[in-house]
Amino acid sequence: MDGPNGASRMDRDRERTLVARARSDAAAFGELYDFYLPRIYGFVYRRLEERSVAEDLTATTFQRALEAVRHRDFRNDAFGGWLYRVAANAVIDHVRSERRVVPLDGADASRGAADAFAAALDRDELRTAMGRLSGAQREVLTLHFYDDLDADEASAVLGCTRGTFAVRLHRAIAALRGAMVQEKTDAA
Amino acid sequence: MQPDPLDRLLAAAGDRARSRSDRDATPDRDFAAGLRDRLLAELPDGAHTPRVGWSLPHLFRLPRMVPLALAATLVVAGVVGARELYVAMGDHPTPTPAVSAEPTQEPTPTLTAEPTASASAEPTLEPTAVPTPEPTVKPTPVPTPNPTPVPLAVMSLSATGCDGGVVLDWSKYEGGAAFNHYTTLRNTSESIPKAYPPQGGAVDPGGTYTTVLEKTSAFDAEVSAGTTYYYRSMAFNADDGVIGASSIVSAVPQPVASLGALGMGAIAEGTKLMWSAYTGPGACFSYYKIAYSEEDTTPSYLEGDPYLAAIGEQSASSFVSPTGEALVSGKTYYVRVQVIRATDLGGFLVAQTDVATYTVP
Repeated sequence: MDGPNGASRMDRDRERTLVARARSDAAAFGELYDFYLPRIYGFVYRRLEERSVAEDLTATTFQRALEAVRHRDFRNDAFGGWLYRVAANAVIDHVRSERRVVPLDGADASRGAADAFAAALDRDELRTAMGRLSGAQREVLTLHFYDDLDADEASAVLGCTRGTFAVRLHRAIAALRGAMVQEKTDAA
Repeated sequence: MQPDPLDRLLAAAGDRARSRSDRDATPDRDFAAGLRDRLLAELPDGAHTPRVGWSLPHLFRLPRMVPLALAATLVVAGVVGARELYVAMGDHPTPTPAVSAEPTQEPTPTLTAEPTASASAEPTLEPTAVPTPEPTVKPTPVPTPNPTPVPLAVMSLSATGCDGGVVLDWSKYEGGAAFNHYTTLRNTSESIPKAYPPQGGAVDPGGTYTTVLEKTSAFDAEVSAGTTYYYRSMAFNADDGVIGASSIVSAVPQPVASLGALGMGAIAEGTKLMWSAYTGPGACFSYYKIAYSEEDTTPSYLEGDPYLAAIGEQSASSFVSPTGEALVSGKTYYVRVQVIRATDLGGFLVAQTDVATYTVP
């Protein structure tokens, strides 16, 4: 299952080849960097909406990526997903450091992005229905429809399997549909 | 297959939201180029222009370099003595931990600039009078202590084989490292290295990742009934470094249990539902959910269908849906009772009745 803009994906075989070469070839890492930098930066920015922080966390993410690909044991099967996961962890750590007391869920760190996504919905009942979903359900929808992540990338962010992500996405859409029905019922 | 209209609405909203934030969510060109240059300079490529000056990542790494440089300095100091070392260093800049954002001078080792009065030097009849400033005036660089590795915190884990899956319950991470998330790994043999990504045949079963310190239970329902599975729960820092780990425990899940037929009939108060109570272990039961639907012939609480009731009493075997509430007279419904085991990270299906098709009189 790919996101809405499937054409923007890097070919998996090409990605594996680049990761394997990147250990000893700056040009290969450069190609990975050029492809993923705007995506990772955008992913972080949409959650934190602070340019300087987004730059810091993006730099940290790619520094970790560099260290990872240089490591002989790096698992070379889903670099993009891994990169999003590192970025998501960095966002969570940043938000947690800003709010030291409140327990923080991954969905909580995605709230800014989920709100921006909900604001773009052009039907009132859809926006209201979105507000009835759990944070985890909104996060799944946001990753898929707003961040435009494919199943491999989104499942890496959520730390679940591709199959589990597919089920969660299906349930979130079903819950949204149910919430819309409920909304109409309440309004009637 | 036609795309779901709701899917289309959501995808269009995603496109709109992205285009609204496009300008801000695009990295600054100078930032992108600068970071690229710094990163690529660290990889072997003769064609690439070497880096000039210092970079943010270098500052991040400096704390790791400083102890090494200082340790080397101290070894030299031990041989020639602090006084001689001072002479040897002369007025050259002392490598100190970076405190400014933009250091402009690379701290290069300077061991050859001045002759020293060390014991190894050839004795001369007329020794040169070398001025010997007070060695205590200039601050000696204080070695930054190597960060003491934080020992892995010990966590406990219980894995309960249930009908439909395995319940995983671990203890909260209480170590001293910066917690980022939990993940539990699985294997079909008793080998789960304390590492991520998983190694040695272990896999991440999914669904156990959480960044909430207090969430300490999850489930694994993507398993084959009758197979022995081994699990280890771990706590990680933001780099996926292990900071806490449990021992390895095992569990054998069983298939989702059947509760048989669901009976439904009209009574004065409404619609009565009757089923056989779930007799499995209490550790595998959280509640009954009575899922129903007008369209879905296999209603499921976990798939988002609505439910008539949630019942937390395991011995319960009947329920009355009052007239005029969820079930509407004259309509036909698909209904079934499901046993759900809930955890901090969601629930899974343990048992269920057959689907009853019922038209409300």
